[in-house]
Amino acid sequence: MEKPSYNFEVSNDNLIFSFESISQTKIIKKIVVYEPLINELYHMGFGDLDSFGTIDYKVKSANKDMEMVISTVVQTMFLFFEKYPNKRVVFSGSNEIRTRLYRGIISKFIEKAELYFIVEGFKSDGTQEIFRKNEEYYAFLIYPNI
Amino acid sequence: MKTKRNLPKVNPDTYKVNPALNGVNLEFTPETQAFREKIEKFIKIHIGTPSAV
Repeated sequence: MEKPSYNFEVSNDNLIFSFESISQTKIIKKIVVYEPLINELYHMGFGDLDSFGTIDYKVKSANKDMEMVISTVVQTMFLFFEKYPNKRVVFSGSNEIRTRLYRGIISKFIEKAELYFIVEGFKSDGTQEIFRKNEEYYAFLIYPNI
Repeated sequence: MKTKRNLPKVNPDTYKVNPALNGVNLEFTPETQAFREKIEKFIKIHIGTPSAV
């Protein structure tokens, strides 16, 4: 979790974050949004912000900095929970490939993540369980381990 | 048993508050909007209550 990340900007309420994904060929404006849903749940989504200010969670950026982008998103999550320690965040990939990617990243860092968070997985039928490596999930739920 | 830790503090030098982001009118592409509605529906059906784990 101490991997390099981009500097970012944040709204006063720690719900909207933006940063720039930078490569040798392009700069992409990224945005991370935590949206209240129901009860104590927030949906976390992130994607690109186009020149018209429209957010696209499904775009394939291909800016060859995925690890830095993910690391930055993790930083936003820390800041979100700093302000909302009793909330829970749910997220999912915008397609199956991305969901599998997120599962792989969580699997890679789960031992470290569990020092700070409870991580759960939701299967497509809604079955809920503590995250397990190599399990197929539709969505993920994360909240501070307090 | 795992040791619980306080969440790490984000280095304040790595971010800045931008009031322009406050209450910004979020507009999504149609595909993104459909995705948001799909995940919201899933959440309301399956995750409407606190963790059952």
